[in-house]
Amino acid sequence: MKKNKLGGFSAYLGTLGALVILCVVLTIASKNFLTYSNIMSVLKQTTFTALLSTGMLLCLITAGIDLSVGANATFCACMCGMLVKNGMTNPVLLILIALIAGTLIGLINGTLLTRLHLPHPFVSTLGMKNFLWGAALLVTGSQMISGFPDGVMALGSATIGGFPVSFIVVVIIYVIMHILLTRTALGRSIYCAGGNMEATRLSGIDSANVLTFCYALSGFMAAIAGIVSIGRSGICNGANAIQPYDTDAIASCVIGGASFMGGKGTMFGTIIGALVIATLRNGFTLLSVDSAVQNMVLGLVIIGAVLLDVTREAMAAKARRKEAGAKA
Amino acid sequence: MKRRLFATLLAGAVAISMVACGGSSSSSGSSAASEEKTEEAAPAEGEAAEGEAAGGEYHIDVICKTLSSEYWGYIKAGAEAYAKEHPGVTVDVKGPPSETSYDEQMNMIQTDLGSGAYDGYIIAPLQTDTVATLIADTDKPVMALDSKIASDKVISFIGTGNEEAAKAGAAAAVEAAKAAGWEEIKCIEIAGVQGDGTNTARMNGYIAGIEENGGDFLEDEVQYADAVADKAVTCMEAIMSNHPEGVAIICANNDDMALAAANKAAEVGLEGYKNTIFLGFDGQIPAAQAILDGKMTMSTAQNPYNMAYMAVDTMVKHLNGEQVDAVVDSGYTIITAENAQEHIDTLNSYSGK
Repeated sequence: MKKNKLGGFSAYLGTLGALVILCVVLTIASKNFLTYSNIMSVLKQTTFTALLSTGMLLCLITAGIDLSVGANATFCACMCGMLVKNGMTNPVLLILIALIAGTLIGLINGTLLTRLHLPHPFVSTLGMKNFLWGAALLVTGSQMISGFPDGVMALGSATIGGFPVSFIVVVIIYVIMHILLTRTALGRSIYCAGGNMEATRLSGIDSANVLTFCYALSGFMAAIAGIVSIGRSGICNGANAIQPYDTDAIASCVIGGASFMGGKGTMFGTIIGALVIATLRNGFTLLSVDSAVQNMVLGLVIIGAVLLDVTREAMAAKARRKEAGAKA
Repeated sequence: MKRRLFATLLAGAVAISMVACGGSSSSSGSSAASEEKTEEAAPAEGEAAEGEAAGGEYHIDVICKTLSSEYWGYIKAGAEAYAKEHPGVTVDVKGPPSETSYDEQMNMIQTDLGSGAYDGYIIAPLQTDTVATLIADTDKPVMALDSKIASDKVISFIGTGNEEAAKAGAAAAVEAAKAAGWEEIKCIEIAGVQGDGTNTARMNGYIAGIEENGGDFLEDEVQYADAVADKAVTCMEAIMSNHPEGVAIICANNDDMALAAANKAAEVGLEGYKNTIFLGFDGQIPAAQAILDGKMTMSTAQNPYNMAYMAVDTMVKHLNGEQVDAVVDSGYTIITAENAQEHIDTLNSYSGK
């Protein structure tokens, strides 16, 4: 157990090291990288992915996936937009409705998986993504909507001395989630569900409820991300639903140490993963890199991240065999 | 530029290799190798960055809707041509991976506004209200390129409205349809991405252009093909099933879709579609060639090269303290079989072929 923890820590070091080195390279390459306003830009740009990654991580830990997070965020923003267009101006109510809508969609995702026994969440959440894309266009009448009240915009746009409030929210959420995952029975059940579903069930954990919780939470986080996106952009647009937000979120989690096989991943690693992606994109812009090259590099990062996942699995298996051999 | 490209690839490689190292708690060999690479890269990048900055008086940022299409390639060429001819001016032309990368363009604008590296910003907005929000606090001049930005911060708009150009194209198509012997001029659009601003503008232009010239735009039968050719083929199949008698004008949101639809119609060979006018938008080389070969009928071309050249020119004038117009019209051309060859030659001259 002790060894495990140490292994986890050095995994952080590697990812953190990657981020630091990336920053050093960019600082040398561009004199505009290491400035207060640019670092704040990076943090603002991390927020959206970081929020989506929270839910994604939980799903990945249970060996599942939630491909509907990006579309869900867009849909929640569009719900708000539709209400604003129809004259609703109470920010508290607007945010509440968005949060309920997002959570409800997550709940449906979870129910499809656990109660209706759809084979793998890849399929059901992909279906949900398409459904939400259409729904987002439908509620907005395929138009961009602006003119949101300040109360709704605040989460995504407010800053304290230049520091984005949205990132403070992200930090708070990550701390809470870290405690949830590592210090509570529910957190342990989530890791268990990803490790071995049958063993989890036999040990008396209601795995269906645990899984449903994960997807509902994923929906809730997507709704927060949707509200942040309204504040950042000042608008909502249903056409945004097909953006590759989901892959960014998955990449953040995997770079941070999560595995498609489930049972692994930490909040700390995930935030580093999200920062790596945002920093990389920021650097591309500062250096005016050709978008073709950007696509290639980002593609390689994602492939590298999956490759890393596979390598990690293989090494863990090898270590287990060694340990077993030593005991025998 | 090559150096910078190399530096970026290297930065990416370092990121990947370091991330990869994170997984293996025991392997230190590969991590050392990556660090060595970084050290090598450092001086080269430093020089590159200084070389860029030492250019001259004005450093202008041009943020496009994307750079991964022919149209935006001409924009880039136009802006860079201006900088080449004027030694005191440097431009950086950049853009997100696609015209639906709303989020990435937003990040780019935010990054560049925050960097303080530029004297002026020329932005082609993917989402106009988003850009309006982003530029609200900047004290540097901002100009809109290609599409308008709804903000009083914007000093000039340089471009041709998509709506106006589409309207002119539609009007020309109605004329052509009359000439081709159509009595009842019905028009169906194969549209782009639903909810996209450019798509909406072009559609409104088509509707106005067709209706005002005595045609009938079938609004209920608009087919959305997400701006890609293969979906346009599916749409064309549906149109031919619904209207076996033929439709006078098929207009599309871009050339790819118009050409795909025209090819499909030719392949099926229905009598009613022999004289159909296929109207595209953008007027790029492959489309102009197809018009020349008789595969599609016409296309509306905006003039991206001039548009970008004029935009940088307008920005420089403003920075010099001169009065500039609020709207600078860069014009459009309707490409038909008569002028297609000339158009191809002009486009080739931009890219130095």
